Formats: sequence, C-alpha cells, structure tokens
Amino acid sequence: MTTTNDQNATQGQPLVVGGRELRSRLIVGTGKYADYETMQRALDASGAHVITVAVRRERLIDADGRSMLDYIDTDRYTILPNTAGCFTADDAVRVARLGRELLDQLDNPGKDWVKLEVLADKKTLLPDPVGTLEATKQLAADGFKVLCYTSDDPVMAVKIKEAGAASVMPAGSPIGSGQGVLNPNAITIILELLKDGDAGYPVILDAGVGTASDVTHAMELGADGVLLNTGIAHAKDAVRMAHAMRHALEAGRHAYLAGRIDKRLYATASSPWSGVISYIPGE
Amino acid sequence: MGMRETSGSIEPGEVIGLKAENQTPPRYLVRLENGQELEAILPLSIRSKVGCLFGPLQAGQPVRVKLMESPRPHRIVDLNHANGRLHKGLAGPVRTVAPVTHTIEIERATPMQLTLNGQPHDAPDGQTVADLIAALDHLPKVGVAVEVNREVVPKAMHATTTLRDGDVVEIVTLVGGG
Repeated sequence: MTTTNDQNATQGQPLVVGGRELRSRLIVGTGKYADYETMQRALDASGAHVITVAVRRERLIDADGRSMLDYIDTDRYTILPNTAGCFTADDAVRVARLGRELLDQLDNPGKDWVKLEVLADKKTLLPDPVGTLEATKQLAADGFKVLCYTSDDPVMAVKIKEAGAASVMPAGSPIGSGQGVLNPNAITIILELLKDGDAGYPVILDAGVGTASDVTHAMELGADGVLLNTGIAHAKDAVRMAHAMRHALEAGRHAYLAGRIDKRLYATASSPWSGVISYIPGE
Repeated sequence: MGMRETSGSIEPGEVIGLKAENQTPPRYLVRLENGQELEAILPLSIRSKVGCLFGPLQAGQPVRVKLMESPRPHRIVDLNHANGRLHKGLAGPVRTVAPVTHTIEIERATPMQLTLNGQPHDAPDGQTVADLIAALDHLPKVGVAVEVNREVVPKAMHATTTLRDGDVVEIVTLVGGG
C-alpha cells in the first residue's frame, strides 16, 4: 500500500476530495467481476483507496446468501456509492440518500459521498446535463460531497462545479466503451477552467478507460485521478490489469509532474553534431 | 409452534385462524368442509394468488375456506396438483415435509397491501418496518436500507415506523457497481 509519505515524495501532493486525503488517485468500481474473489484481489492489486458501489433492491426470495460486503474490508476502503441507473434528479437524490443510510450503518467514511450519475438513456449512458445539475444542487445542499459524472463538455463542467460538486468527473468516452480519452482537448480545457485560481480542485477522469495507456493519457493531461471499472473487471486477467492500471496511473502522474517536451514537426538529434566524422547530406 | 388463536367462531369450511407468530410466511390451519384440518401458507402476493396447502388432498377437491382475520370471505377457486413444486409467492423453500403438496389459487383480501421492491406484498395491519424486515426470511438483517414512499427510514426508526395500506417500500443494499 502506498503511504501518504511515499505519495508526497513521488507523486506530488496527495489528492484531496471533499476535504479527505486519498491514498490513491485510482478509484475503481466493484461491478461486473467474474466473482467476488476476483474482485477482492483486483481491488487489492489496484491499490485503490476509494471504491464505487451501486445501490440496488435487496433480493427478498432465494438469495444466495453471499453479499458483496462480505468481500470488502470496510476499514480499508472508502466506499463511494453511485446513483447509476437513475434518469431523473429526484431518483438520484433518493438513491444517494439510501446509499448514505447504508454507509452510515457501516460507519464508513464514504457515508456523505456520492458518485452522482443522472443518465439520459440506457444506450449511450450519457449524462443528462439538466438533471445532473439539479441533483448536484440538491445533494450539495443536503450535505453530500458530490463527485459528479459528466460529459467532457467544459461549459457543463464549470456549471457543475459552481453548483457545489466536490469533484467534477468528465468522461473520457462512453461508460464501459473502452475507447479511452476521445477528446483530450476538452479534458485539458476542463482542467484549465476548473483549476483556474483553485489549483487543488479535483478533476477525475471517469469512464471510458480500456487499457493502461488510457489511464496514463488522462493523468498526463493533468487529471487528478481516474475512475474506472470495466477496464479491469472485464479484462481477461482482471487482477493483472488492476496491477497495470495502478502503475499506469503512477506513470502518467509522474510524467505530468515531470513536464513533457514540446511536440515538434521535425527531428532533433540526441547525439551531438560536433565531431561527426561522416558526410552530412546538404552540408 | 407458538400459535395464537384469533377470535371468532370456528365452523367447517373456515380457516381456524391459528397463526404461527415466529414463522414467515404465516401458516394457518385450514379446516375443510369434510372436517379435515390442513396446514396452509396463504399468499404473500395478492397478484399471484398462490398459496399452499399441506396434507392429503385430492386434486380438484372442492374446498372453501374463510379467513377469520379478514372481513371478507376467501374462496379457493382452483386446486391444482403440483407435488413438491415451489411458487414465487412463497418466501423460500417449504420446510414442512408433507405427503403431498398442493398448490391452490385463492382469492384473498388482506388487511394491508404494500408494494415491496416493486411487487405487491401483503402485510398484517400495524406492521412496522422492523416487523417487515424480520418477516422476510432471506433478507440479511444488516446492510439494508429502507425507503417508504420515497423517504429513507433510518435504521433507528425502523421499530417505530408503522406501515400503512398502500405504502411503497424499497429495501436496498449495496452491490457491485462502477
């Protein structure tokens, strides 16, 4: 496990969301794993501190008796309940409050957190901007730390921050699509707008990650963290992919902090020209 | 079985009205027209209208029963033979070993009808949220949150929140998600 001190030394200041310092910049989901044991090992390999969960109806008949919570160390992980599956602000607020009630019973630090999703339709899973904004306002007023899934639209990102979100989480590409960061310029603009005069404001890339390089890409752009689920859970070897994602995130973070070179059209030689003994074309 | 006798006279063809207090779903003794007594599970769901009688019955045997607890009579309209078969209306496997299990369709009105997790659910009058949770065999007793009519009922208020006819109840838990 990466300690805060290690993180300070290697990855700059730790990520702070909603007033809480996180031990990892990678937030991973708990959905879609082949089984709970694989999920448990993948979460461990990812190094994540915060994990997302969903709120669903309890099965009242013939439940198999196995609960996901039996496989999650609630002392280790901060549980971030989502409002996935909600298509209206009202439903998202209801689900957020049920999530809070559940985490309150577990006495988990995620109890006043919510990963807000207000979706437009099942096919695209794109956010409904109007519902998202309305729910953000209501939940922030109700004391929630809202980590808000949104599109990569910079204008919406600003409005969501203004509505009181603790973190704006633009999608790299559609949820579960594995297409990576489709519009890096939009992400860059969002980062610039949201961090203007507020450098510590957390912007987390949420959704679309297909493989490790997508995580690195997002972090190189300057994102404060990455939230992903399917990229790990549906990899052929989920545990190994979790490991890859963890290191990809660290690589991207280092690269961002290190400051990349400018892109040039033409080559620049790495070896000196002086002392060259050979014929040089054009000279 | 920890039974409690309800008030009212008992006549042939009527449910005697004994209720097992510590069992869910409630089991009743049913007295048939021929005087035969059988144990019965009455439907959990008004929509499914499915219940179970346990005992040596003939398929197609006409049976009329009446619930003492209810203001309206209940009639068994059909009696289908279905050995060992479980129905969705039952909360879990039938634990009573009986020579023959007959499923029946009965018309039944209940004192209180809830919508529980999107399904019709019958409940006794005056049931609290805590009672409801306790009555659901397969429900984990920890790690659930309850909403009644779109408002969360905090766990500390489960025992003091009484449900009403028509209430829409959601019982949720945490599952894997992204």
